[in-house]
Amino acid sequence: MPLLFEDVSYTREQFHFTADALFEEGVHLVSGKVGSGKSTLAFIASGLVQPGAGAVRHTQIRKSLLSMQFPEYHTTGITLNEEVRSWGLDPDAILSSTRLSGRGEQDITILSRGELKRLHLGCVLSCDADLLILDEPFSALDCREKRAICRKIVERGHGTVIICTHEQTWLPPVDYIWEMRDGTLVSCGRVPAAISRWSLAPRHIKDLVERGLAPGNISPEAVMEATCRTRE
Amino acid sequence: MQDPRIRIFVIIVLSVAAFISLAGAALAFLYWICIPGRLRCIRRPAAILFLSMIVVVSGISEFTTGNGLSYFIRMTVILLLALYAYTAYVPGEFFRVSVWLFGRRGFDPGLIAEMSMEALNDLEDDSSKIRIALRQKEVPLGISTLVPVIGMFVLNQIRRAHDQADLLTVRGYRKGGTLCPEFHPKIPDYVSGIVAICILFIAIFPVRDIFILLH
Repeated sequence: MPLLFEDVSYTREQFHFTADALFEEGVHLVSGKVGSGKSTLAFIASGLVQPGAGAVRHTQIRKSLLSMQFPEYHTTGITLNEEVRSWGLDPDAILSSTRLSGRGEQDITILSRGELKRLHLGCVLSCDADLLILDEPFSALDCREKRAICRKIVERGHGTVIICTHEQTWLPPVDYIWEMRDGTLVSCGRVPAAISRWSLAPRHIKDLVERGLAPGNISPEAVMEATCRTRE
Repeated sequence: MQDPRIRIFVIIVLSVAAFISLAGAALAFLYWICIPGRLRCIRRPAAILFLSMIVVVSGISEFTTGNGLSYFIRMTVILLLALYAYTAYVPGEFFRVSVWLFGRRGFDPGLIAEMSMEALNDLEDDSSKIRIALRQKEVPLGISTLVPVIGMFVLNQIRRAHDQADLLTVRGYRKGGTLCPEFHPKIPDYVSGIVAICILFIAIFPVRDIFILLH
């Protein structure tokens, strides 16, 4: 289920975005500084924003889904139950998996942003989408929730997942790493080789690479394994 | 138009001219036609919303007083001018103009105007994002979805207002402040201002009356 960016460019006021890339099936991490174009990439990839030039081709992708950074934008139900149903999902299962059981009839506006994000991601990750684009999925979540989201991403096990984030620690194991450099999408390649080419890698991963202990992936477990690894 | 003082002045003058008479509305429309990038300002969802409101009020007016068409033309021109003013606005302009106009007393009204413009921008942004969410869920915008959507608009605005109040408090704001606005008007700005005054003059005194006076 590849997603192809063919010489895509998009301009908005002073900002210019370009991408020429192929997103194959698997988990992709797109890292970049604030304002570098990660969200623009997410919107264009989902087909919700049309590029100024070039084309985005969704091959064999029946359904794509974009999760925006702020969960409020996705809310269309008054109660938690209504909100989950608006995604075509079973409220009991979702509320239970997001630790919101028994609150189905509560007004959704009383949820904190963290709780709302938890509920929203619970719904998004349970939807049967071939292409899932997560824009800053870890914002407003504590470490425990970030870990849970990483686990759910791994458990999906099918389709293409694109994660646009500047999270530095709680990351799921990924297949490909990309960087947004001043509006241009740059491929670092396939993991694990991509890790040594990842210029925006977190400090602790860069340190490991410099010491010749490059981790096999970027998840905390893989990084821990590399940190504790003994040289032969 | 670079100078916000002249731009705001021109918008006010042309709006008054358009409201006063059909001739003023026609000339103001011609003026709007000459503005570069004018089409950008009508490609907004708000434009359709306001235009449909004008259509409804004009329709009612036509049936009750018979002035519906005239009202429609004049209000549509005013709407076009307002949309242009909104599109051409650069953050900080109202603040600078307010302080230039009223001195120290203009600081607070300027700040309020800026915050209001920011809130309008946020509303526009929110509405586009919520439309995306509805599209993704394949949920049509109806009565059942309208209530939570409007609720979210209000809640988002309250959250932002709260954050903004916190920020102002942290920065030690109580009331008033100082600002030294600078403006760099160019010759086209002055020309625009003069043209706008001429249009207002024609709207107030129809050309026919001027010739009668001269005679």
